[in-house]
Amino acid sequence: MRSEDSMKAIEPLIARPREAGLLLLGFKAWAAPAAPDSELSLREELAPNSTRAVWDLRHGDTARVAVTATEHASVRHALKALASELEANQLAELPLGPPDIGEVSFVHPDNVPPAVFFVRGNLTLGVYSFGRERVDVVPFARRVDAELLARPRDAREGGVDITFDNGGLRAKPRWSGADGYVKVLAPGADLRKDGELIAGATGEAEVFYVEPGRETYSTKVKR
Amino acid sequence: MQLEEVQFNHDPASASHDAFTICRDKTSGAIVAPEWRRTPYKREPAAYARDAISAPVTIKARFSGGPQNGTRKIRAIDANEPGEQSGCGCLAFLASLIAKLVNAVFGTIGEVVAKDVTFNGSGNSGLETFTLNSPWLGPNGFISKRNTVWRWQYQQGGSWVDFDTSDHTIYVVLDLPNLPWVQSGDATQLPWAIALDQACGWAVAKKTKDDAAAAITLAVNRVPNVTYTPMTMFGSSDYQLASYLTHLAGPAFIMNCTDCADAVTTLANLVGCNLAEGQFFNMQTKPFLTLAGDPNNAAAWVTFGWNYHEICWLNDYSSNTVWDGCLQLDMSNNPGVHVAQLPAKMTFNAGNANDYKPRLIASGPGTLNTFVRHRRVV
Repeated sequence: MRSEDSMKAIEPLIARPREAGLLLLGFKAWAAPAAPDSELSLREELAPNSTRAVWDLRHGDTARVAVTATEHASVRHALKALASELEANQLAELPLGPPDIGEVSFVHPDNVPPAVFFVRGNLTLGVYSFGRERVDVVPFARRVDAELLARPRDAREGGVDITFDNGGLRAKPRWSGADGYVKVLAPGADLRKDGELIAGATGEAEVFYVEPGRETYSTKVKR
Repeated sequence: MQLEEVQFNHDPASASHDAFTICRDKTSGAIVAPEWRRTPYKREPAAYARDAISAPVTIKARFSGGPQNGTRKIRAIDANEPGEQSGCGCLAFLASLIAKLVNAVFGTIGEVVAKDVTFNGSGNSGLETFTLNSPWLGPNGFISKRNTVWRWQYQQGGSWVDFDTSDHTIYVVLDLPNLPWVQSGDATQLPWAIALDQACGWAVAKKTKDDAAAAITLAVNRVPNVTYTPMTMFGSSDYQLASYLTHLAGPAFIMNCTDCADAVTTLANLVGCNLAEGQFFNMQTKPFLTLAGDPNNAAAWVTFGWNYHEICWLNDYSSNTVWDGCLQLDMSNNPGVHVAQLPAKMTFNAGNANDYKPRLIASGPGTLNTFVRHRRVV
């Protein structure tokens, strides 16, 4: 899909004031919530800041779902990157996806294996029917999106050290594993990653350290 | 007496008389001779480029435990060479024939020609150069991955005495790998042994570059657990070859034309071909047989409105010669009847109705991109 075409839907979103206040650092595709009755079968580091996870559904290996996640500096960067990523899609036209998925989403038409491409926070994500058996991936994409957007429940206070530096803040989890990631929620803020700094966090922000299967930690900051 | 080490790529600057430089994978760095060493234990593969060889091929070897201040004539022969036919009758003949055939394709690369080796006062030799007598590195050579097992012998009183064995994985390709593969510079782009495994398997026994490219195109198209998707799954800036090789060995997965063009170009060029990836834009296709499709399944004949399609070109666009592992064209002129043809060394467009472009495109310009490329492997 030509970026000129996808940008018709994406451009207005880039221009709009950003208030979602969501930034994810170190997110891996396999940290996405698993599909029901599935098993994580593959995790891949595709490129710096880009990962793919594949789940086998049911008991066979012909029905599979894959998620790719690529981290960008900000939601604006992610929106532009989505247009660039969709250039690697052969189809001349991609329908817009459900409006409740991502900042914007595109889907595959019916005649090819289902896929959803969307932006949430500073991530571009792809959710694919990856095996021979076609799987409706819209519900899965919706669940991944909701998880990314949600404030983690039952987070224990503390555990993330926050320091202020050059107008931004630096978040350092006291304990971190290979699969953990940092989620910053700052309603109304235009968050962006500037090297290792989190910039744009005005007002109140909550910084979470999330590692699947482990306790989540959080620290509140106010500027 | 025992063998201490064997060197195949003993001259990394050249492939004219020894092996060329490879690595195991993108993170391993170059494999440096000796490829075989007793202590500390080392076993690494080696690879030869048939058409790059212009002088007698040599290896280097070192020994210990020899006669102090003495000399011994040493050689190595194929430890797995099938013996004479045992028994009589058709079955015995057939078994012997199969054993010889398997050994010819997958067996020992050749024999190490005997030479006198001098030992010092401690019974150690220096690093000695031996000539490798191999029919498979000459004009009759073909693509193969050879399990070479040598029985090392010294001569004593007119007869040969076994003193050691060594085993080696040897790849034979048609010519030096071409881009994205290199022989110097970025070590991640040295030919990967894990990719040679795949390419030499798919193009085994092929003697010409055209045959090798066709075999790899066919193999990419017929991977049994793959399904076509329009989205590039293995990278559009770099080619995620390591990921592709992982998925080939696993359950079902999906890929598109860019992934197929990358696979064909990268693996064909690894065995010495000269292909490049090139795109053309804006088209509505005629019915074609989708990736790994069954020509007898009507649903496998599909059409698409594509912004782009990517295929492999011989050298560049000027060759007008293409390979496409992603689809099979319909060569039939009769409605309702399909005749599938895998595009392998096909003319792209020379005004003939059976050329690639008119067989694929129903409408739209199919405008060529301005450049071809060889994506870096990661």
